[in-house]
Amino acid sequence: MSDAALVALAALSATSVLVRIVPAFVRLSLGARGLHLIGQVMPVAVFANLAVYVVYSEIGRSPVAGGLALMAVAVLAVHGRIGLIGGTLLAAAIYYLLGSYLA
Amino acid sequence: MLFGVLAARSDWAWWEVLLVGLLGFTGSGQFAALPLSEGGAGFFTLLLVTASINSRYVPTALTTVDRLPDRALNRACGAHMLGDEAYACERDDDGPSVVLRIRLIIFLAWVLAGVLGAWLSRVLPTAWLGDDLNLAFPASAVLLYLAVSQLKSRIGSLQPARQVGLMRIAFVVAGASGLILLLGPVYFWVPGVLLATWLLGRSRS
Repeated sequence: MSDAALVALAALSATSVLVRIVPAFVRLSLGARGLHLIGQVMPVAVFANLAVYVVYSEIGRSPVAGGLALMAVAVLAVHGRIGLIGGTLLAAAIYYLLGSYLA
Repeated sequence: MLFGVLAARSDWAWWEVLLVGLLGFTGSGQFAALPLSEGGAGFFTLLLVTASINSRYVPTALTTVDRLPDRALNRACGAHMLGDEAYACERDDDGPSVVLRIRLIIFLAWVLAGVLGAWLSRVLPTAWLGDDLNLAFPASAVLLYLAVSQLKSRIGSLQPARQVGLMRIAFVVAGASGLILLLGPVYFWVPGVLLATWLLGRSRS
């Protein structure tokens, strides 16, 4: 098994244990402030960092095609019109067509 | 199936896709883990990201505890197979056997579709694909779509006034951008998330 697959397997298994299996057995007693921070604030913080990570990674590889395609994805996600698969297919089409045109 | 296709494009074997599907069944978390693990992200970074993406399962799991079997192993398996579709299909008065059947069918469909996707990806001629083609882009697009969708849906819970909420997210994004430029894409995660949590949590009080 490759290192990447092994790390992904370990992290995803641990995730399932944390978010689904543990709550099925244990009742956590966090205060209102703790629940708000863990359940609402931290996920928003993670998703904002995730968006920055994706944009940084793809613009580093291909600034024009990556930037425009990801901009399209972000706009489609905000409007939510053609869904995850539709948005991904459209962005991939923009990315690869623009990439081949610029090459 | 898309997960299997993308994983195979990253040189994952079909049995790796199968194992991740069986043991790491987390839906969108799997899409997030793929580019991150290929990019060299560590276990705790991946755990932080995928647990956050799947944090919605915590309240879902808590509200369906009574539908699960009493035996610990069956209970754990039933909890592991919980997904959005299963949750939507189940009813409050469903017994453990019905719940397990619903979850097992959807779980197996997801896992086997992933393996099928990996196989289909192998069937496509490699000559169609250039060496410098960035095959990970669709996974990045999926990831950004999920991140933006989550931010859009969660922003209201932090800040009722939408413009103020957007301004706070902009501050967080600016901070994260500065950290990723300063520390690089692997080591910015923990300080980035902590800074963002501090900024978002602090401005609420």
